Amino acid sequence: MRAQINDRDFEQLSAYMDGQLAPTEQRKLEERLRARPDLQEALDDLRRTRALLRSAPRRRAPRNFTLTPEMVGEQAGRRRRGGFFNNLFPTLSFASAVATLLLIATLLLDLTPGLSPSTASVPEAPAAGEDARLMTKEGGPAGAAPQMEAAPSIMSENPAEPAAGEANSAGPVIIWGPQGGYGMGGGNGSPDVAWGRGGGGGGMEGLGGGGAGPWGVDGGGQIIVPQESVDSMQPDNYVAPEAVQPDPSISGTGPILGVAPTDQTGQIIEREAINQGLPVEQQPAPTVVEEQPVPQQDADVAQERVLGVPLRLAQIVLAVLAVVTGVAAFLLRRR
Amino acid sequence: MDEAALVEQARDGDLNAFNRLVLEYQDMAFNLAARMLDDDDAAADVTQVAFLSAYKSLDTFRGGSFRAWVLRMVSNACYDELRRRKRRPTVSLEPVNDDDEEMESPAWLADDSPSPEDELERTELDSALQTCLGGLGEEFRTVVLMIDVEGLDYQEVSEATGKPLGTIKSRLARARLKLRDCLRQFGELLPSIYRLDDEVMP
Repeated sequence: MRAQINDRDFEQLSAYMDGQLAPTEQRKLEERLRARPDLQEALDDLRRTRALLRSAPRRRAPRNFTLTPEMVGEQAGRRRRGGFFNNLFPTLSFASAVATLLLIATLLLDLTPGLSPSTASVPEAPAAGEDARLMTKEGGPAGAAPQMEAAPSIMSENPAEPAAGEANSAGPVIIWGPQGGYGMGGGNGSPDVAWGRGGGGGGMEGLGGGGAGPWGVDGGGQIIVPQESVDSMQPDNYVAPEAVQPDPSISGTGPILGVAPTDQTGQIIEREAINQGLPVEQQPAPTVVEEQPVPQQDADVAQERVLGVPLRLAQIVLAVLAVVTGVAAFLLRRR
Repeated sequence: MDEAALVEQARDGDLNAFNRLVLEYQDMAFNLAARMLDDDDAAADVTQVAFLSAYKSLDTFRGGSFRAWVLRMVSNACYDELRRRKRRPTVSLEPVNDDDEEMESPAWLADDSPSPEDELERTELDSALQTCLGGLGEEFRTVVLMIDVEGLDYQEVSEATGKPLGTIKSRLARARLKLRDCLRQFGELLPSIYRLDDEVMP
């Protein structure tokens, strides 16, 4: 009686017969062969079958199957030329891949904010601890600054900035001038921080959305907020600034309302001098604390003009190169 | 014969170098085709087509066993022929008698047999074997012919067929098993030395 052996067993026996079993599997199978005569018989059957196949008469080629130039025809010549063109295939493929990758890189550069020259960076809001030129040392808008009444503060929230609780913190004051500058406004030490920007170059953006909404921009580039908006944003303990009487000793253009003297534009004057209420002419020589950067927006526009055009040209060239080399590689492969 | 050098020369367009490779492998190629198709004339055509295809596509040979690569060309050409046969069944060209029955040529009338007895034995074995091979699926037949008839190893067959080693092992085992069962039916018709019983193996 012939025992039933499954396909897995036959597969193992067949591989064992050809020496294709791993040493561990071979050892296990040999143990099973010693224990099961039916497995041994199946192995013997497979060995006879393989022997019969190996002894089958071999059919010799009735003629030579060598190729003649006529049989190959143009293909022989094409083979030589094709060799050269086929060698181009990997080069063209590589070139196409590289061009595509570079194109993707330039596109990513264009899309990544902050890295692309076409993206105008957002100017940073000044630190909340800094007081505006509209603020006074005493923690309220009712300081010695005589311009408070004429230019109400600009209110806005800037939760990213630290609380402006330190109304007493001294900070540099920037004089408006033709180059424009930054200013800050706040209200009585409230955490709300206001800031605005303007410039002689016509930068009109501000938190008012470039002039949209209820806020407007005056001719000097200052953002004017209606008083109702200011009042609605005031905290409960807000104390309205006292009206400041104009100082008759200050004449001509002042540091805030008008155009600053040309020799003082762009400079930072220590608060102490201002808080002392000294007229401009009597203030000590300004100490330049830090250089005023050119308004970031103007710098970005200029930078975009310098780098944007070459970047676009590079993208176009890379796209064309990728397509041309890719099509050429595809055509050569088909040959 | 430096096979690698000949292959490289052939890839550069040297037809003579390629023909030296043809001479080396043409018997093997024809034998595989003849066993696959069971038709010597069709096998000759397929072998020629296979070598022509091999020459045209030499650039696709990436190294390894050139023998396996040639047999791959042959087996693919055989598959094409078998598919063509299925689409267009051929009409037998054997002569017919008065009753419109085909008259088969007796094998013992062949002229090249060394001796009638040997030829009969050889013919009967060959006939039995070919009959049983014809009962296998094309892919199983290819594997068992390449390994047990042409002597390729498992790795070469894997390269020639493009199938993984596990598939080769499985197909070979099933092909051998089916051949065993088929050849057993011939029983007494086979030379005693080849009979699949408990007698001693050759």
